[in-house]
Amino acid sequence: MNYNSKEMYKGIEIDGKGNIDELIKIVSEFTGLTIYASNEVTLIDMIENPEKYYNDIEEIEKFHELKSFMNFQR
Amino acid sequence: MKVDMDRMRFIELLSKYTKISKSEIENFLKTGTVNDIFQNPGLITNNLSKVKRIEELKLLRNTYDNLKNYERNYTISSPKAAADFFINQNMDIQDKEYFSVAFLNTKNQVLDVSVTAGSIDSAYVYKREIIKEAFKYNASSILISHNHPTGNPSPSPQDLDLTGNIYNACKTVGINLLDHIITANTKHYSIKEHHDLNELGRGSFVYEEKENYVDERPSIINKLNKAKKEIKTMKRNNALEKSAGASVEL
Repeated sequence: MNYNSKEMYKGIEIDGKGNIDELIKIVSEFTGLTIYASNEVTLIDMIENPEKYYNDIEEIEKFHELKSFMNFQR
Repeated sequence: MKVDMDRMRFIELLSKYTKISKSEIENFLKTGTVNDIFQNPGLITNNLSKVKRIEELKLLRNTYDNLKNYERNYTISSPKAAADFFINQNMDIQDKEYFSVAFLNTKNQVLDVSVTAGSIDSAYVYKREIIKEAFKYNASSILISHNHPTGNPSPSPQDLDLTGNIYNACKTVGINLLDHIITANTKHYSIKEHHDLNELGRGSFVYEEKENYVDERPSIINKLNKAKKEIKTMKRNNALEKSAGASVEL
């Protein structure tokens, strides 16, 4: 999902403190993939819906695994 | 296609990222919880670099939670809001086809969204999956959407047929199909706004090829085309005036 709509996501601080680079680094290291994302919402969308961004089934599975990791025992 | 994260795999991945040994994590989880690890990393390790690695994962988890929770509370109350939701969701992807389903509660709040890559034809195959997922989220209604990479959101006969098909499938199990939004870049077409979904369910629809979609952001090309039309009209009017003047002179 692209959260660029101000109306939809007002109140959410997006990349206000320059976290995106750090988040990309974490996700890249976790998945072992090189990632392009301009903001947090695109990055989180990649974790939620990797099918939109990747065609390779192994790459998609890595994101599914990360998603499951983050949802574990919530 | 979801991966079940069992405890051992979780420990393996956490160990791999933080460099904390698997046995240390296992021992900690005998009395502590996963949340304890992220809330108080010092409880599991004194090593500063390992604590920093846990904090990195915590940052990612918090960002993920914030954005997911916000999406869950987003309410869709009109075709415009639905279009806005799917256009924003799909704006980054324009090179291939995909099919999205938003699952809503009784207050029309989004519970979750699923996205499947593939042509609209494959959506027929996923009909059972849609119903299954809707039950999983205890959704009272759903919204479906797919994109047209061609840039024209007008529905094809197959799009209308699919809408009726899914409407019927949902109706039989007490789930309401609210709309089928077709997106194409920033344009959208709401099938609900132009058709009776119940009629589509009966298979009784007349297909008319129209360009009656909504363009959210008229492009420069649209403006140029409009200007060209106006110039053409002016030239034609001028020509008519001239020919009228000539006939009077005669």
